[in-house]
Amino acid sequence: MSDRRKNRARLHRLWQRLWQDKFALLSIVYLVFVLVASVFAGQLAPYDPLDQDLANRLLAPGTAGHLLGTDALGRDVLSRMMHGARLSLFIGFTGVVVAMALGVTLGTVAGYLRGITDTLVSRIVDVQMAFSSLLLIMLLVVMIGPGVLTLILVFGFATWVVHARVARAATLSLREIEFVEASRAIGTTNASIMISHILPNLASTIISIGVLEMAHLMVAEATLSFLGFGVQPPSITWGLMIAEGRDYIVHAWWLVTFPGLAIAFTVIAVSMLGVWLRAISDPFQRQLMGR
Amino acid sequence: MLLLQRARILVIRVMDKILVVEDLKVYYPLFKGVFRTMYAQIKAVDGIDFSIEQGKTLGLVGESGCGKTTTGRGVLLLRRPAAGRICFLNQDLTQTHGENLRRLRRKMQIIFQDPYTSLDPSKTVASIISEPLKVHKVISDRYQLRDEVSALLDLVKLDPGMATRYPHEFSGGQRQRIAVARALALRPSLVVCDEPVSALDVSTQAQICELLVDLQEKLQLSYLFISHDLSVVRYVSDQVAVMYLGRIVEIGEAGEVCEHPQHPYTQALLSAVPIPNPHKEQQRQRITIGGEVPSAVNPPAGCRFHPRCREFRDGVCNVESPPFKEISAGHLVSCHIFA
Amino acid sequence: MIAFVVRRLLHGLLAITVLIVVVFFATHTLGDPVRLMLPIGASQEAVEATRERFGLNDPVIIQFGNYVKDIVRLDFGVSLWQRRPCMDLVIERLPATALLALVAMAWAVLAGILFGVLAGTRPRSKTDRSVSFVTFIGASSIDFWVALMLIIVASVKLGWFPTSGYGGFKYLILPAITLGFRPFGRIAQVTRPVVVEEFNKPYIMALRARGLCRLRIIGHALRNASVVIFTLTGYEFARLFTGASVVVEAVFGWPGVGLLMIQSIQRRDWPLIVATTTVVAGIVIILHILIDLIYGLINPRVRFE
Repeated sequence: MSDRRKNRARLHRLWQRLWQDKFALLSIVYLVFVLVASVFAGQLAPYDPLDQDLANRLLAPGTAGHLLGTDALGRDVLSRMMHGARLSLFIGFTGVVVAMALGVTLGTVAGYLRGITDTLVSRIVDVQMAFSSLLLIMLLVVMIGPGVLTLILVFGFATWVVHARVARAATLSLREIEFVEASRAIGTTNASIMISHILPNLASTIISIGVLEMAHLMVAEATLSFLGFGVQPPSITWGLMIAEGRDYIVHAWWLVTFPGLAIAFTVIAVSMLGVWLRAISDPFQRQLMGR
Repeated sequence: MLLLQRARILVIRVMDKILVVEDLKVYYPLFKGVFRTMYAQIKAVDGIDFSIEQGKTLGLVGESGCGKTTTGRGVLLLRRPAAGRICFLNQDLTQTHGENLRRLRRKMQIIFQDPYTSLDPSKTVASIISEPLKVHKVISDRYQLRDEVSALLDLVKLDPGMATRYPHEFSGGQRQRIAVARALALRPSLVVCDEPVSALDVSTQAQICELLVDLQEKLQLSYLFISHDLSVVRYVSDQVAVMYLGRIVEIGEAGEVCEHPQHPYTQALLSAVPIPNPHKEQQRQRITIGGEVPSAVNPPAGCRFHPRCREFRDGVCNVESPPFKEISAGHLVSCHIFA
Repeated sequence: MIAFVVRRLLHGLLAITVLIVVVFFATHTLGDPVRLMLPIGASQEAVEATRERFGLNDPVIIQFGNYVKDIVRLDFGVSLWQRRPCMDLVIERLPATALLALVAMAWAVLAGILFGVLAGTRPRSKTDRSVSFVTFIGASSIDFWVALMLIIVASVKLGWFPTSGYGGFKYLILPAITLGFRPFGRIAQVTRPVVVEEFNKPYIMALRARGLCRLRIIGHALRNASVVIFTLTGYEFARLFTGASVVVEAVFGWPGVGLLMIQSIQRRDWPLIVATTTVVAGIVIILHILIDLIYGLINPRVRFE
């Protein structure tokens, strides 16, 4: 069989697996939808999200031209949600990327080299794990000052330990497998072995963990923004929208409900995707470890 | 080690000795306690001497736990020896480090036992085989690399068109051939074969053994062939060394050791190998050894085999370690019977 | 055994030391406490005076020394907002948080085990799927949003419960439900596979052939699972004390330590921020140590690592 046909066969199998798990399929469809809505918010949103229209404050969902209603300043909720998706997704994604960059590197190096490096990194990981991450994040954000960049960096710094632990555990078992020793016999440097042999075999595990962590970070961002320590207005995230809508909860329930539903669905979809990824990568991992 | 053996090595060093190992010791530490202090060592290899000539094979046999695998790893410096000298191509490996060691590694390679775990499953066959060439920057041109990989696959009798496949698409025997191709990429002088056929079925075993012998002739390779299977070892080796609990008990020319074993342990091992002729098989006397292999942390005093030996003599065998005696040309035995 | 206990305690000590250092670093050097405490247009004299007052002009080493000296005596200074010793405020508020956490945990464990068993005894059935779905939602739930939704539904629309505050049992219900959602989901997720595994064991078939009642088998399975459930409960409880409780207390106006932290941040009460963060994180570390030690007692394998 030619290589191209083999690749297509592999993709076809993946698609079949996806189709079997309706939840995962639904999650991906939803996420694609959210992604498109956020990326093309400028073109697709019916209104300018910052456009205030005090004459039309607090309109219920369904009233003329405002599918999800308007907020206290007359801004269209749907448009704000589409624009808010950008920051919500971006912060979650970038935060995970930073955390993974830091965590996977340290975890892999610690797991491969062992010795003092491992002891040191493990101690740091253990100690940091003892802190509740939300507490640490809050403290750092408060002291440094809120802002998108701060949030991303603090997220990365506070959650790298999860990735480090996973990477280290996987590396510990991988390094005992003979192909690693074969490379050492060839004379490959440790760095090369880690990069070209260990990391590719870790990929499926750490990616599925990464996806799950992204869900956590999105919740964290929403929580912080809700409490006022996260992203600041006039930027828009879903968490911030909920905070702004909280005061009107008695009469304008939609201000809090819709952004919350968006977060909830997105987080659930991302989590399901993560779980599904872990499920399909598991047999691959097992194939890796032997027959 | 006896003076005789030492002298022998000195004299022969002038000739084509690829590898000379002297008093090699490889230990594994055991840790315990709050601060992980070492409280004992597993003496996996506890003072062995042997040598391999160019183009020849030394077979290393023994039961599990005797230290033969560790010897293979130790010779290639994949485990740091606790003591001893390893002279490879007239350089003492134990004194070689860093970049020098890396350069020497080109000339000594290894083939592992399990073909399912010795190849990186995330890499294509081409990538696996060309790794040595890339690491040592022997070939940098992409097309030359591809040609060399094809040539190597051809050498091990695999279809060069399979270079873009992944290991899991191959059978055990084929994977082992890929491992051989990888080992030969840099045209080494010494190849350590660590139970290369033990994980394969019998017919494939024969094929791979033949391939190895064939390649040895073609490329003038030297093998350190480690196995627990005496029949395989005998077919492949010129010399055979028998190990027990970290020491060599008998060493000599392959045919000689297998036809006329002198050490009680060797005799027992050989008697366990079935003879194809059913009549002879039924008639002969089996020699069995009682007991189990003792721990390598605290090996028995004197001759290590004495607790299980049928020739045991109290006061001698459990006191002093037997020296090597030359029974016939090149055939040495370490046993008090001959002392 | 002793080695294990000693190692764990040393490790906890290390964690607390690092906690103290990190909080110091975050609150003295990373950000500017003066900027935090004073309004934006404050005069230069006010800034200087504040710096003097809190000893922020001293070299860092001296500051750290004083800081450690005070912490060891649990003296966090006086709250700018309430003008009372910070430690007193924290201790006042701790019981409320503890109460909320305990009640939340109680229902989470009961419901979690129940749902886990329900799903585990009927694997792949409709019950299993729907229960698993519910627990999945629970485990990934968003505290503050669930809180707000509950308020909308149960408080505003139905008027069953008050929206916020502290008083009798009525005020406890909504916050406890919200807080317990995630632990409920997690405990159920953990219980289910253990039950499934237990029912797959060969001896079960033999016992069932003899007519052993299902409840007994479930009892067996739970005994096997109890250790895992216990440690998970412990960690979730510790988590409730900190992150989760902060949000829930904020939404429901529940006067616990979490709300105190939020209030101290909003009022820029720097000594109180330090106090609440340190105490809460310290409690979490101590809880973790306790859980690990108890787990070590139960599971001998861990002791020999």
